[in-house]
Amino acid sequence: MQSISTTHPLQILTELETACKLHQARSTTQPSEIPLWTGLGFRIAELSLCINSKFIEEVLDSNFQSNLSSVPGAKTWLRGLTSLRGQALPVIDLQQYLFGQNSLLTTASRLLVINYSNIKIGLIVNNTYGLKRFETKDIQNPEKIKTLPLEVQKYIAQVFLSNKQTWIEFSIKNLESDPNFLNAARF
Amino acid sequence: MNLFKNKKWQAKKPAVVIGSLILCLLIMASLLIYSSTLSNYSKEYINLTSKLNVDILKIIKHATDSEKAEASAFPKLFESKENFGTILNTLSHGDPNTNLPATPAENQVNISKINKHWGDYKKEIETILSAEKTIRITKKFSDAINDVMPEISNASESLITGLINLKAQANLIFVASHQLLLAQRITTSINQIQQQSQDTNFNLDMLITDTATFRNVLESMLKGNKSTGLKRIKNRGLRSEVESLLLQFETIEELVIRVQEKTPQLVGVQKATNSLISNADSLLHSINQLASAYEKSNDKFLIFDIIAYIFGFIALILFVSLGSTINKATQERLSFEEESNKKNLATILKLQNEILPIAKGDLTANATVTPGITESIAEAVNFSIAALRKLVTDINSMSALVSDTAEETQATAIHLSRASDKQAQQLTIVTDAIYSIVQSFSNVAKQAEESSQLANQSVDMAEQGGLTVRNTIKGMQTITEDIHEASNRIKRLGESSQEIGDIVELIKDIADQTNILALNAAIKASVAGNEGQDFTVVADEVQQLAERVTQATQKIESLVQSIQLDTNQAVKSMEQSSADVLHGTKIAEAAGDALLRIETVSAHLSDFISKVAVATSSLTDTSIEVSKNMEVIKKTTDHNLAGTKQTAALTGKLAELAKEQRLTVNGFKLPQT
Repeated sequence: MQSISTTHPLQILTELETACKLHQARSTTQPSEIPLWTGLGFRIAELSLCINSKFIEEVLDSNFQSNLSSVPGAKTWLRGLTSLRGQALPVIDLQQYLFGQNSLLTTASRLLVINYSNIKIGLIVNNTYGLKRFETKDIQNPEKIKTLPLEVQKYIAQVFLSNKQTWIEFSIKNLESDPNFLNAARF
Repeated sequence: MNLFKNKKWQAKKPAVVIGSLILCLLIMASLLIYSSTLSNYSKEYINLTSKLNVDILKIIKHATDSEKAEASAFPKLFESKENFGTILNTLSHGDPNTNLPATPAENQVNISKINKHWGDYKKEIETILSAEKTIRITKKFSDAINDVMPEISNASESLITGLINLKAQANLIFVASHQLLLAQRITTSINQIQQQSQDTNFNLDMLITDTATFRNVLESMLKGNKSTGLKRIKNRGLRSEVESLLLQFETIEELVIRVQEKTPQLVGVQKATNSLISNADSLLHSINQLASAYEKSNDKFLIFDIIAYIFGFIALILFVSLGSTINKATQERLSFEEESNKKNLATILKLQNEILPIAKGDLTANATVTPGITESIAEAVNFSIAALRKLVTDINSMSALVSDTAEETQATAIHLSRASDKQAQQLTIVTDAIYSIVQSFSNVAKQAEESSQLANQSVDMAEQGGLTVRNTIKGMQTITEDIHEASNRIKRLGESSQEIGDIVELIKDIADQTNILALNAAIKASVAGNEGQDFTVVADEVQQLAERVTQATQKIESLVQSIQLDTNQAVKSMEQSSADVLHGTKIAEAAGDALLRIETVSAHLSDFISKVAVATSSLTDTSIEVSKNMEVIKKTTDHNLAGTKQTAALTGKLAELAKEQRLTVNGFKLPQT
């Protein structure tokens, strides 16, 4: 029999169990400090982005595609409408909107439900990295924005550097105030 | 009568002379041995006396060295003393180990003289030996003083320099300079006392005086002295120098007192050494007297040698006279024997002349019988001649007859021999032919035998081969079944792994949903603000766990996939092997059939060959029988031929012998009848 990895699955499960127990104990005993900024990390193309968690209503798994109705005459980045607990929710392919290249939907794909000034939209992202917390020292010089791709630059609120990884705060405000975004009709 | 007496004397004389000769030689030898033994003893005595001389000289040397406290001198002195005593004892009482007798009485006077001197001498030596410790200690003291003194001298010198610099009282400077001289004198005195080179008592007195003076001066320097007019030194530095000098000098004073205590014994030693040296001459003189006495007594032994040589001369004279006597007697006996020999020779020559013709074959001659040494010989010769005459006549007639008969017989035998020879040749040819036939038959029989064996072997092999092939076929069938079974199991395994894959998919789904749920919970909690903080952390952890579960399930998925791949591969290879085995079985069955056929054919072949072998074998037996019979006939013929040849040869020889005999007898001349 050919083995793919040197780690045995059972071993991984065992590690999982011990990790569970360890974290359970630690989280109750350790008082955590209040971070400056909390948001959800996700991926678009090869960029690591994050959105402030106060704008995020919830996250849906890749099953959202099953009840997606396409909107005729709309631009391609508007994938369609879906129903979220009886409410119509426009679903936007963020990658296509930004870079003009539609994202392949996989099991890892997620739909972020954003609520900004009571307007709800759904953003398709390639993957989520969970909640990210940054402190004041993580905030990078605004000059840094100029080194990032041109298409993204106008939606950047600020840039963080944590554990040698650059995180871009995606500004929902900039997105929703963009006339380009507000006009979803093809003609 | 006179002659007879003379003869008797002649016979006895050599014995008497030999006896006295041996006696003289014995006396000479014993005298020589005695004299040499005595002279050896005397030499040994002289040797020992010379050793005594050497020991005295050694004692004096070691005693002088001991005085100077040389460590090795004491044991050597003791050794020399013991040596002297031992040698003296040997000289006066002898030595049982070397069989040396005591000195003869005439020389004992000299020894007792030496003994008397030695008694005094020994006492002096013992005095020196007993003072060993004292001498060594004194040496140590004097060494110590020698060590300390240079320091004192140096200190005194620096004191003088100090005084001069201060421009002190001239008197004081003089006294201080004098101290240097005193220090030097103290060293010299102590060294002389230790080495005892001068009068020790005088040296000791000087040493004590000098030491006292030295101290007085030092004390005067500190306190001043009215009687000598010396003032005390006021300079503090110089005073402290003087004080330390005084302190150092105390050591020397102490050592001087110690040396003083030891002096009486040292003086004793000095006296003893001096008396040893002065008495040595008288001791040596008496030893030399003893030596000359021994030499004188050695001269006395010369008389024994002279007597021995006189006896030797007498023995030489006796030997010469014995030689001349023996020579005379021998010459007389020789002349008598020569006369009787001449007479006998004449008689023998006469007889020889008479017999000589007979030796040449003339049987007509006769020997004359005369009384004397040849009488019996002549009679015997005559008798022999008569017998010889008769014998020669008989031989002549017999040999003629034998010769004729033998020639006739020989002719017949030669004819017979030729015929037999021819027959034998023909028989040999026939026998050879039959033998070669037998050989070929036996070869054929042997080969037939071998072929039969080979055929049997091939039958066996074919049977074995058949059995093996059948076993192989059976084994292959079993393998096919096993493979089928294994293949089924592996297929089931593949199905099970597929199920596992399904379950893992389910787990993955659940993990995904958990992940999203946790994420949502975390978001909600974070929106809640500080109150939701703790819950955010928990939700975060849950989400991370869910992510790890997802990773694990991905690994399991890939493993299951590889299992399925492997199982499929295994099933395929098993099917392939199953087909191969089936093919193999068919081939083996065909081989089995072929072997069966070979077996049958081989069995037939073996039968045929056996029959051929049996037939050939019986044929060979018959041929061997014929060959054997021919051999017997040939042997008989050969035997006959040999016999005939031998007969012919023998007859020929007989005829020749008869001829030869007649020729031999012809040499004899017979008297006319």
